[in-house]
Amino acid sequence: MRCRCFFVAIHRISKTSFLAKDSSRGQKEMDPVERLTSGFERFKKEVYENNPPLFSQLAQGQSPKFLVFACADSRVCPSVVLSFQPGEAFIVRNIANMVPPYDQTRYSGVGAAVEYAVVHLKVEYIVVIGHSRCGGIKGLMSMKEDGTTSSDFIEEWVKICLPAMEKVKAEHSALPFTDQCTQCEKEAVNISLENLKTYPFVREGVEKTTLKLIGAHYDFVAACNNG
Amino acid sequence: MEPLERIKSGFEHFKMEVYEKKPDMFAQLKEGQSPKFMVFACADSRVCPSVVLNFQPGEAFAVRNIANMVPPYDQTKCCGAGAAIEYAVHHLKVENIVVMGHSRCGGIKGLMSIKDDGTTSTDFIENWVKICNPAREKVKAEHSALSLEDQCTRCEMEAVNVSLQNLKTYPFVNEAVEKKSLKLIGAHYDFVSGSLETWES
Repeated sequence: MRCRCFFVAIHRISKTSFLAKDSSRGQKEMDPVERLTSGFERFKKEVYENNPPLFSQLAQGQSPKFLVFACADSRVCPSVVLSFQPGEAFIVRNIANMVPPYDQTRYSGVGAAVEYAVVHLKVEYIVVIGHSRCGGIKGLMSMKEDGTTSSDFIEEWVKICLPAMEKVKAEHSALPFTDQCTQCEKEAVNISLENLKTYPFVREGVEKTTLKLIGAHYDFVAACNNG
Repeated sequence: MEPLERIKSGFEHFKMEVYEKKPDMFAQLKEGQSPKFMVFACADSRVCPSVVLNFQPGEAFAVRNIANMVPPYDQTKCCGAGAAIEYAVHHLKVENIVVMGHSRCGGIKGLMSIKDDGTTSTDFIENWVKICNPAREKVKAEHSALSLEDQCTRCEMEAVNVSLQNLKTYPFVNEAVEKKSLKLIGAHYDFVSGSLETWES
C-alpha cells in the first residue's frame, strides 16, 4: 500500500520517533479525562523522559524554522504526517487550512499567528498543506451560486478561497464532483499562499529571501484505491 | 536540510513507520472521520496535542492558534474559530472539547504585558490575545504580589477558563452541554516540570 504526496522524495531521516506508541486501542469507552491523562503519561514515559536535553532546551524557548498551516481534520496532524519533532514547527490548524488576506477586523486570529511566527520567531519557511477528502473544501465547492448560506460560520469562512472554487468550476467543469474537490484542495492552497503575501512582514521576508512559501497536498486516499 | 527535502523525508518516515504499519486504520479513515475530541491547543512548536496527549489519527479534531484561545460567538470578527466549532459539534458530533494551555506561553505573556492604557504596538497579536482580558484582570487583581512569571502561569490557566466560558456562547455548544452530549474540559501542559493538569468546566 502506498500513500501519495505530491512532493515525494526518497530521503530517509532519523528513526527517532517523537510519537509515543498507540495507547488508544481497546479503550474506546474510556472516560475522556482518563484518556487525556493516560495519553499524557504515555508521552511522558516514552518521549519526554527519553529526551531530557531536548526538553530542557525547549523549556528555555522555541526557535522553529517552520510555520505550518494545516487542516483541523483529525486525520492530518502535520506533526504526525510530516514527522515534526517538538520545537520544529509552529502550527496553525483551522478549517481547510486557509490563510485569509490581511484584515485586522475579521481575521485577527490568523494574523496574530503569522505576525508572531514571522516577526518574533523569525521562521524561515511557511508551509500550507491541504489534504484529500477535505470537508471544508467540499463545503466550498457545494456553496450555492446565489451566495445564500445555511451555516452560522462555515460557509463564511471557506469563502476565503472562493477564487479557487471559481477557477475549478471554470476549468474543470467536466470532471466529477469528487475530482473537482481534489483540484480545489490544491487551488485553495495557492490562494492561501497568495494571501500570505498581503501581510507586509511576509512580503518583506519573501523579497529579502529570508522567508520561503511552500505548498503541499497530503493524499491519504489514492494509494488505497490503487493498491 | 533544505526545507522541501525535510518535508519530503518527514513524510516518507511517516509513510514507513505509521501509514504502512496500520492499513486497517487508514482504510477506515479514508472513508471519513469520527473523532470524539475537539482540541484547542496553542500553535507553539512545543505543544502539539497529537504528541503530548498521544492522539492517534482520527481521534481529535484540532484547532491551533495563538494561546489556544476561543473567542466568543461573533460572526464578523471570529468566523475561523466559529467555523471549526460549528463543524466539530454540529457535523462531526464530537463528545468532548478540550482547551489546553501550556507553560511559557508567549501569547499569554503578551496579554499580561499589554499596557494598562490599552495602547497596542502590534498589527494583530495584542488584539487577538485581548480575547482573554478577563483572565489578565483577574490575575492582576488577585495575584499582584506574584512575579510576572508566576502571574503568567496563573493567567495561562485562567485564560483556559475564559475560553471554556466563551464556548458556551455558541448556541450549538450550549445546547449539547445542557443535553449532556458534550463535555468541556480544561487542561494545562507544563513542559518545565513535565506535568498535565485537567479539570472539567
